[in-house]
Amino acid sequence: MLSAKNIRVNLGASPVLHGVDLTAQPGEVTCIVGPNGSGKTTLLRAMTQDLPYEGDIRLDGDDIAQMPGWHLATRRGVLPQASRIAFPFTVLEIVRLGQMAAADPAPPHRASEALERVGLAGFEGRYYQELSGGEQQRVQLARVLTQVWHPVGHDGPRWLFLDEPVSSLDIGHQLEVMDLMADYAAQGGGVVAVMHDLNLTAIYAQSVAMLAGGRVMAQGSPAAVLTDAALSHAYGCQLRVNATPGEAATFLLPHMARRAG
Amino acid sequence: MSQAMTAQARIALPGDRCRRGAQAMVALSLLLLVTSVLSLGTGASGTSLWDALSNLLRGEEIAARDAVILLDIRLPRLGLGILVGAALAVSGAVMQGLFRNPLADPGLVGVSAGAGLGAIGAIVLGGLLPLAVSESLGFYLVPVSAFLGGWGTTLLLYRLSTTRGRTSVAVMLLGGIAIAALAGALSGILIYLADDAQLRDLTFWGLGSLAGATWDKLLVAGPLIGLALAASPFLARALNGLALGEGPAAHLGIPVQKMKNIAVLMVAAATGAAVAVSGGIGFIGIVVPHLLRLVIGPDHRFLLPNAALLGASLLILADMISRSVVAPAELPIGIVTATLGGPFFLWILLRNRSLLDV
Repeated sequence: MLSAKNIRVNLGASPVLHGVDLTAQPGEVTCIVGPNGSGKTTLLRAMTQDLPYEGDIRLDGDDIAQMPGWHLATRRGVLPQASRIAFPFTVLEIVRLGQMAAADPAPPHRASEALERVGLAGFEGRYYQELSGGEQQRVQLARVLTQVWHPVGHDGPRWLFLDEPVSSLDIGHQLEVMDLMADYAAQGGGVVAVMHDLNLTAIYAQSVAMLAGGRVMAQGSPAAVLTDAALSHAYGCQLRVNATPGEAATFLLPHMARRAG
Repeated sequence: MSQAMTAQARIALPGDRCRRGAQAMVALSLLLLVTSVLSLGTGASGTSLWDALSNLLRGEEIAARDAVILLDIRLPRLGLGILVGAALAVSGAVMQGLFRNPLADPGLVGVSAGAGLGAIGAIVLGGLLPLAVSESLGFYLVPVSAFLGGWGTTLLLYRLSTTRGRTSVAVMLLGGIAIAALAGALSGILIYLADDAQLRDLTFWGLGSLAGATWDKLLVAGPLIGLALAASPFLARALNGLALGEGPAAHLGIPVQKMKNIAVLMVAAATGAAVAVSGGIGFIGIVVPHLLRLVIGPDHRFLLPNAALLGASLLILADMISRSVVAPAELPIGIVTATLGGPFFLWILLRNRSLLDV
């Protein structure tokens, strides 16, 4: 289990997170949602130690601040938002960087397998810099995936921390990546993702944490958290959610929204 | 054997340049061997390496003059060329990896100027040091202070240009210009203070040349450069990870802060020692890694050793040019590398224009 308690982060002099609590279970997709500037990415970056934080963050019982970096690297992979790379690496070379941090040695075809899973089969020889933004994001995901390839290792579950993994993807690739996250969780791994798309969140997440103004408004199942009142309050506009018949996944149409005021 | 090789070639994936990196290492080792032999055989005196060798094989004595020329003039000069060329090229490659930018080069961003200030300071002010200090350092005083000067400037530059793990290219280049100018001004003041004997030392040192190579110089520069080069393979993995950015590198389990400190020390030691024994030789550190990245890619596990080999070969070649174009006089080698490297650098700059528009 990932547990973050009373997380506080200051950027410069101003506080961005005011004592946030969040838990995520292995075997589940946990999504962090909220409006721009609510602290979603800051929370993820604190939980992955990219930012200095106050509070207590434990990964399967271990305080992450006490764990050596190489050990953490075998247990969690972190996908940053769009990233530029300094030199002309090929896609294969980038993906293999993840492999070298993995706990177990990987077979030579692992990188290709990972590329196939993110819909980039045959991209090994392409230059990373020449790819589109969405393709680059998926190459990075393949890299992270090779790092923690098996959702459960001998010492417990592996974790994926993903910052807006589908934000620059077309709808087909969005579904592909969301399915990949769901598979990873279904096999026992933990997935924590910052999400903008509330509908994909409602379909795929088992747990949703909604942030507003640097605080968690609610965490629970999508149906419990993504309510008219909570969404309207958090996003500052009138929102109405609906449910699909049958499996009853919550959905939200901008057509039904009204800007506040 | 050949069957195994073709089977391996079939497995090799597109985008996998490990094999090319390894092949380049073999080819460049041969190149270094050839240039070294050529360099030993070339010189103003017309002493022939072959005559000396065939004499040796036939059990005859080598003429005393030839032995001195070969063993005490050409051989240390060759050794120094290999050391300095490798040091400059590898420092360039490491610094570019550290700053995540192909334009970072110790010569360009003021590290060489800082090392130069250290060296000049040692020559001019060395007499003011307590006798115990200057005596215990002896020959090492100049290279050690060059190392300290280079270390200080590299640290300062990194602090200036990197905030929260992001390196600003503009600040790095402009900060480097300011640091180089400042170091140059301080060096100027020191030169103004120098007496006649010191001025003679400074003039010889400042030519940017391998002339005056002696076994003593080799012994002085060797350990610092050797240590720095020996440390570089341990940086390769970290530098590959750093290409993704400091955060992602840390998530790969790389101890980023520690590796950065080692990289800065490594660059300072290699550049400092190279500057101390040969003055300012420009462009090797930027041209060699860039050429190699075009051919074998940026994987530092192959880039660093190949840079050492190619840097050494190129400097030996440049030294041969500098010794032969105006023979029996010599052109300072800095002029040769700048004449060839300047246009090449402009070409790199134009190719990477987008990197500067940040």
